[in-house]
Amino acid sequence: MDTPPNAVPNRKPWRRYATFASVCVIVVATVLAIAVVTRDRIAANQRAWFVARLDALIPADLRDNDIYADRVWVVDPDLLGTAKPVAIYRARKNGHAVAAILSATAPEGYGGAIELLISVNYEGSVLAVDILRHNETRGIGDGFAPHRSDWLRSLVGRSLTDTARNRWTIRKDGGDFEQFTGASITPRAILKAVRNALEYYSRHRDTIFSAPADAHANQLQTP
Amino acid sequence: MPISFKHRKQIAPLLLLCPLLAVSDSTINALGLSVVAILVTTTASLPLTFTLRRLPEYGRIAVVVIITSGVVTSAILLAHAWFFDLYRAIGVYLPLLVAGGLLLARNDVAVPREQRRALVFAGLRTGLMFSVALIVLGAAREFVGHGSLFFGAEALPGKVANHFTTQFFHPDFGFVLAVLPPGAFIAMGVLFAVRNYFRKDTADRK
Repeated sequence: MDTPPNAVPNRKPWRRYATFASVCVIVVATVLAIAVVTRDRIAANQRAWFVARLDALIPADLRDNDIYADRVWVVDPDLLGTAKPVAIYRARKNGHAVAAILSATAPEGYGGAIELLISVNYEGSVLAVDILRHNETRGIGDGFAPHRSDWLRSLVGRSLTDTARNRWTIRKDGGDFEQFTGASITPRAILKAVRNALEYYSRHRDTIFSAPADAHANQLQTP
Repeated sequence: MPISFKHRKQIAPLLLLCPLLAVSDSTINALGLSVVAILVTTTASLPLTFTLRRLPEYGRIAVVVIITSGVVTSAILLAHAWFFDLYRAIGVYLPLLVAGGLLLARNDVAVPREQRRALVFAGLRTGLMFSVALIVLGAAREFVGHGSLFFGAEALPGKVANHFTTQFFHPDFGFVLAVLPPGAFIAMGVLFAVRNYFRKDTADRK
């Protein structure tokens, strides 16, 4: 390496430490200031994005309440796929229960857990399914993505009564649903998660709708 | 040999592209990240002009890392707050820009006082060249693997690119390898080859 024309003379070492320290202080202070300024806006953005996702799951003419606020927290590792408390959002019209949105996790996705939102009408059939987060292989395992297929639509209207428990899977396994080209693990995992969520809903429907808003799992009475 | 020790100065920045290759799976992601990258490299080179002169060789890399991480973190927060759609599309990749910021470290650092502007321009140029590579890769991979160009344009602020969204053939007929991570390396290899082809007649023949 050539020596730069104006290399720093090695005289006052304390100046380097001072430069280094002040760089650290200024950078940290700037980042902190920006973090404080943006915090509320970021929270509002995330909330607005999520509320829009929820709104899209239940037709607007079916409900007249604030779904996002009207939620209960439940825990069921077996049927909802995660040991963490998850939210169930309740839709009502004129005070009558019309539908619910369940947050579920499909732990057996090809690329790890798939997080879903499943909206179910009061009688227990699927209104819509939305994939919130997934890590499936692009171009192969993401065959459910709306721009690639309308596979998720094939679940609409299904319930535990019109589709027997053992038929909630892909054709290859003797079920009622298509798989994607080259991928069977992903749809199998999603179908299982939806079926389990419906199962949870049918077992707990009355508790879900009667619990006070924002009630937590341990306050819910399981019949 | 296209890659040898004597070419290290040209090769090093290209190797630093590697962590960012993941982003280049679609034109819009590449475009969005490019805009942020140009802003970040330019902004980060500004404070560097004041500090690098005061530091010996071995302290500079630390300052470059601290300043670029600070600028990148700020960029993430600002994008999250004001360009939420963009953040949703590329947010997870933004921290990787710190690696891109290391490109700055190689813009030889001891710039005389009167040439400070040169360092800022070097930052801008680094960002621009980086962007061109990223966008070319993104467009090529999206077209081959997904059959479209500018898909997901609604994520960019201003909606300018919306008119350009084109689907050439159904995604199911796409060559999936192109959008998977290995496809990024293959596409970059092709880019290298093209570059070497055009370089062949000038420098490398000597």
